[in-house]
Amino acid sequence: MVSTSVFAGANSLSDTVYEDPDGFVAAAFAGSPPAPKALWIDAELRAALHSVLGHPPTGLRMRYWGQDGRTVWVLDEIGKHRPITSGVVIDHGAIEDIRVLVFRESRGWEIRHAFFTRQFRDARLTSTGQLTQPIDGITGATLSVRAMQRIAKAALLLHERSDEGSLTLANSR
Amino acid sequence: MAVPDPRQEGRPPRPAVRAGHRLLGLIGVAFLIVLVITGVAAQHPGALGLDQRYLQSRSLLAWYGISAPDVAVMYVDQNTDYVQLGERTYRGQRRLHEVEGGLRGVTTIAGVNLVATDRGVWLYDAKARFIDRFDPPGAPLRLGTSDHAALLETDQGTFLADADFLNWSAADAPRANWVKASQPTEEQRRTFQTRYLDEVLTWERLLLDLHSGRLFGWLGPYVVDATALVLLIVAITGLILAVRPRRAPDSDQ
Repeated sequence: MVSTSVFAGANSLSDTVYEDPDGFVAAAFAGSPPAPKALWIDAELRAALHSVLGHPPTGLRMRYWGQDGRTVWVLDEIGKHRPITSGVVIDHGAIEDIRVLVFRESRGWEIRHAFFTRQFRDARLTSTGQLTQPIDGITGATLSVRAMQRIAKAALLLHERSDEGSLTLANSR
Repeated sequence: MAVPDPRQEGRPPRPAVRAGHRLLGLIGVAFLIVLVITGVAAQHPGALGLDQRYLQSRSLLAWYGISAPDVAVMYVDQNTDYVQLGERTYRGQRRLHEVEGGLRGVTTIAGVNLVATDRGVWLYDAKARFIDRFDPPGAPLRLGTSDHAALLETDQGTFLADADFLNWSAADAPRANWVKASQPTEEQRRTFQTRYLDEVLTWERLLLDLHSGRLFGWLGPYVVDATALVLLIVAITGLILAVRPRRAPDSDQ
């Protein structure tokens, strides 16, 4: 079955692929990813995504993989000029893992390092659309850092609206 | 009788300085007006819509050396033309901004419009709104259908989509109905090329090129640099005129 890489921009020779999106999704589910699902973006979700991203989402639906309260998202967000493709694993409404999969900008690649990405672990979304924990920036990579923060918020928001997010809410009540 | 020291009284500015200052000032001000207007406008292209407004002047496009590429490929799906010119793909009158790569086929299944290029498959709804995209293994070669399901052949195999276009499974020797390209007529070619040229040159680019001088070729930036020097000279001569005392009234009169 072939099913990944939906929102990842097409790669060119100048792109740096740190991790294959297919491999990231498979690894998140111990090598056996479930079938992908689609989350359709309604007007309310579009407005919420617009709020956290600073621009409207590009598509009418988002593809994701979900199982037992966990979801995996492969999302693109522009740092300065070109999209950064990141993979985000959400476990019951909190970030379990976030990684840079494909980097296309000329600067700001330092965000791929674990010292930066581990700051997102266990972060949740507040009612005002902010992350529950502060993220320290990296000198010279400000726009990439902000792009990663937007991706993290968008993934958490999308998780809330997904089938698995509904499961998370039901379990927390 | 003691001779007055000119260093103490100050020398009046020479007429040549005043005349030169005036002439350079007029030249500089003319350029400055252009630079200020274009500079301020170029600072806010989004707010002013300059990046979305296009100039259709063919003489201006000719000045830039811009011409329309030939139609690379055309497909007709459900009475709608899908055309690729250069890096652009059009669906009828509308440009599909998301699509990248060389067009490999177009088909519509269950109201979903699939546009395949050598870099992936883009999905659109009936109103040409982008749904999402699929990047298959390998480079797509052609698009088709098999029993009302989307079929994609890449250089790494053939893949059959499910009803939601979420899962694409490897398919061995399926019964395929591959999409075929069409040949545009001369009139269609001209129409497509006109459409292309109508959306090439933005006001933003024109103003930026006017601001930098690049509109006037390789010499333009040097002219702008020279203008900056003229303004500097005007500033310096203006300071000289301001600091030095004016000529004393003629005592004989």
